[in-house]
Amino acid sequence: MTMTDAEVVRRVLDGETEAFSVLADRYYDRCLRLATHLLGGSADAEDVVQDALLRAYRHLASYQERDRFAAWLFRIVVNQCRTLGARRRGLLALHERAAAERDDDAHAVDHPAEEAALREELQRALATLDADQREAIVLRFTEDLSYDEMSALTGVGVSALKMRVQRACRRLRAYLTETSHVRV
Amino acid sequence: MFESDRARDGMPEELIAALRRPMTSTRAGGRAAAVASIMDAVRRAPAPTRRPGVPGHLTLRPAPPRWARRRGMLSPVGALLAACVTLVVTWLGAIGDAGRVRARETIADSAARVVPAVAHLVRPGVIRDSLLDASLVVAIADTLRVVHFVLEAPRAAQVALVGDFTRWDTNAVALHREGARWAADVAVRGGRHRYGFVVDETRWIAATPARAAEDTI
Repeated sequence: MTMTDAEVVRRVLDGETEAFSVLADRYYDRCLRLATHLLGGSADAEDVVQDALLRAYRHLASYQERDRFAAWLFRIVVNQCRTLGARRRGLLALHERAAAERDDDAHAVDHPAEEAALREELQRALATLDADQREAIVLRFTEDLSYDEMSALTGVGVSALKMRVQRACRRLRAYLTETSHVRV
Repeated sequence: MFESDRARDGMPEELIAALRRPMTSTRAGGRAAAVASIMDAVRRAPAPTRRPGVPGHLTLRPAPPRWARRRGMLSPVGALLAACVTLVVTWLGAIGDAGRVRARETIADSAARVVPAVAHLVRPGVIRDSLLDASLVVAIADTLRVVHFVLEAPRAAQVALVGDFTRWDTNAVALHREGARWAADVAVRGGRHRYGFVVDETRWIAATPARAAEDTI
């Protein structure tokens, strides 16, 4: 029977350190995806995810069961990404990392070159957004968080988040859109 | 794969799907090694302990600012200020909106050949085979673009977009009416694509008026 997140947390707090591997295994992929979109590269993202999960373990006692563990964990990931993003000089190396990832990408199921190219195009589009907008749009559409959860996670009000998502969507569509017009 | 603009919060579904694609670890040993490395660090770290009654450093809900914790009635000065602000806002709202300027961003693709079209009567089932050469062409230079397709057909009751990117399925992309126009946003991958419009399930809108359809109703 699959343990809930809250049950696993209780076990870890009761001294079963190895039980944390359930949470690490359960959320590693989602954390990696979130961090990769926020940072624009998987190499730094993996470091961030490792630090975030370790940090989550150390502060597990502060997790309150009324909150979704995923949202609580993602807040840690987001904060780690913000810290790293502030230290780094923006996304100047995005294209170099994207090129390196294209070389390393050997796991796409169909049309590996297409998958990698599509991912690079998406990362390029995300890089045109402000950090706040990118964070909002990734949280909203990658992890399907509600605006209330996003607000609790980021500390930003719901209205401001909705505005960020709308503006980010507009900018992404403007970046990716062309028009074909026919008159009958 | 290429579907109509079923956008959520203004985001096409194809882009949402692209955002949700899983990432793979680039570390030696892959994902399993990454998780094992995390557990190694966890085992070396001091164990977290329950501290009832002591607030943690990491809580999901940020502490409300001090002013928000105050409860009760407004002071007389505060009430007067709130009333003044309300009156000013109401007055500004009564002036009216100057109007909304709708800016439509259109990017003309110089490689696309769009020519005036003439309707042909066609049988839906043979669109691809008989009218491939008469279809419109759009060339997408980049890997992925959201193409805004527009057809001016004020007398149409329904309009569908068909093309090689919809596998010529007349049910794949339904345009929505915007006054006298019909429009849809579709994510299209790089390359040259042939497409056209089917109006009221009976009329095929193509690019070359001189070329007659072999199959007609």
